Amino acid sequence: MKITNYILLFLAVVMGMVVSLDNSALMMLTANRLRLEYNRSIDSAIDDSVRSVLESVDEQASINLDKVASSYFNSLYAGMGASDSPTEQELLRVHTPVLAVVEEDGVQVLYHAIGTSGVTQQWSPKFYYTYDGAGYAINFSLDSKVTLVIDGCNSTFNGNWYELKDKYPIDVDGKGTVNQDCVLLQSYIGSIQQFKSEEEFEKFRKSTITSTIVDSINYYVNKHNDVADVYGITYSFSLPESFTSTAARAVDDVSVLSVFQGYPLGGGTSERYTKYSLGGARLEKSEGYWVATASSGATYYHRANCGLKGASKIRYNSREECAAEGAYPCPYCNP
Amino acid sequence: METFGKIISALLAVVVLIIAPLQYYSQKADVVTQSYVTAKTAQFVDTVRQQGKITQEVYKQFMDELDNTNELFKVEIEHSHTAVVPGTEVGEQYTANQIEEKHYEEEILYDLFERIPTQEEKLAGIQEGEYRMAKGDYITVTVSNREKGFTAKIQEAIYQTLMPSLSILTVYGGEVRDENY
Repeated sequence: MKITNYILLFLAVVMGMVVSLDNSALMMLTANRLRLEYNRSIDSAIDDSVRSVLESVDEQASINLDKVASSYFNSLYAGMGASDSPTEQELLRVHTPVLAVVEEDGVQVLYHAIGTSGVTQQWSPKFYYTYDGAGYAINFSLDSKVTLVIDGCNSTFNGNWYELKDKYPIDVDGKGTVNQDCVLLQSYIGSIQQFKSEEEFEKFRKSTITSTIVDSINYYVNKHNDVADVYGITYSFSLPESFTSTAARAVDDVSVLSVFQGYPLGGGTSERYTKYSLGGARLEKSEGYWVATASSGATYYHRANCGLKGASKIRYNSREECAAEGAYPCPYCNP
Repeated sequence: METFGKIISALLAVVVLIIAPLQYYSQKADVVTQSYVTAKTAQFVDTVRQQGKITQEVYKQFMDELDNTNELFKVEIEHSHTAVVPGTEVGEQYTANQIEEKHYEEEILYDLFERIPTQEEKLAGIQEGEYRMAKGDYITVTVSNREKGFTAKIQEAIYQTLMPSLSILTVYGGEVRDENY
């Protein structure tokens, strides 16, 4: 056989391999590119929905949930190139089993409900950040304010957890008029473990809020499998354990959380795309900076959670205000 | 003429049987590696931007993912932080001056793998095995080839020219969005 024949034989064999290799390489490149594009689209959608939350917060109005949802989905449609395709929009909605707004006192979830007129998106009732104790219930919030409800009391007690004791004294008018509800409150405050220290309160507040968010979202994500059946989607919707760490970041300020799951990646691959996203108004809201004088005599400003701020009560809203007072950034917490 | 034909056939055989497949394969492998490294770098940077910190775990995972390519990479990390300090005294107050601080991978890797937090650092909340950033800071990660890639070596052999030994594969970065600590 001539050498040219060998070449032809070789080419015939190799062409098959080349086509297969080319195809899988192309699919991988496309999958990576699409993943980056989808990440960007969902991040933008979350940012846009947070902006509409912030508008409500600035205006001190209650959050317009429908505006949040329309900001999120319109931005998502635009980012994914689905603005002109109702079918594609529907697919994106179905693969968003849950969009949640974490509010000051509770979380509300946009979910899919199956009704007589088909599948519609609805907002759930608010799930309050409630802890049920023995004989009492505490409603937490995204800051230090609580509402305490005690069995057998006609009153509910609102305020920062550390000021309840002084806010509701037994002797209500200072003239010996005793309020029985406040007597009960004073006895409970001493026994409520979460009110023993700021550290314990924060730990408990955060875990209560996180579990409320995770439980409510988990409920609707699991329920979404019925909706998936309606659309003939075989993907099984469920929340992974790692979602708790995403939810745990939402405990300090109003934020928007989206679960985008099982979306067909496209580009010829059979892969599915999933992303859990959180956008918080906390980006715009600072816990403040605390100015304290160190033992060396130098004045530093610290982050709120820096232990080196000591017992400082001097709080500023911005680093510029601290610098104007002659304070340098703490070399350890590095604000 | 027959001898000439044989030489041409042999040369053709070398080109078609060896050089062309090698070049094709190496170029394809480089494109796939480039795409993979870009995706993993973006994933690493986005995680850091969301958490506001680099942890040992996240960094090691990123390194392991790069190792999967069986190539050697140089990973450069640049963290920019704007510190606000007092400037000149105006009356009873000071002007607020901004100083841009840059931190690079040597410092970051020290904090991740060698630093044992002092008492002051512990009080400030710093934990072992993490490097913290602040909201509004910027991070940029640059990944380059530490050695000449397969394609570069093949091209050097074929064209007898020197290819650059360090080529940037990807640059990815952005603003730190959150402080999860």
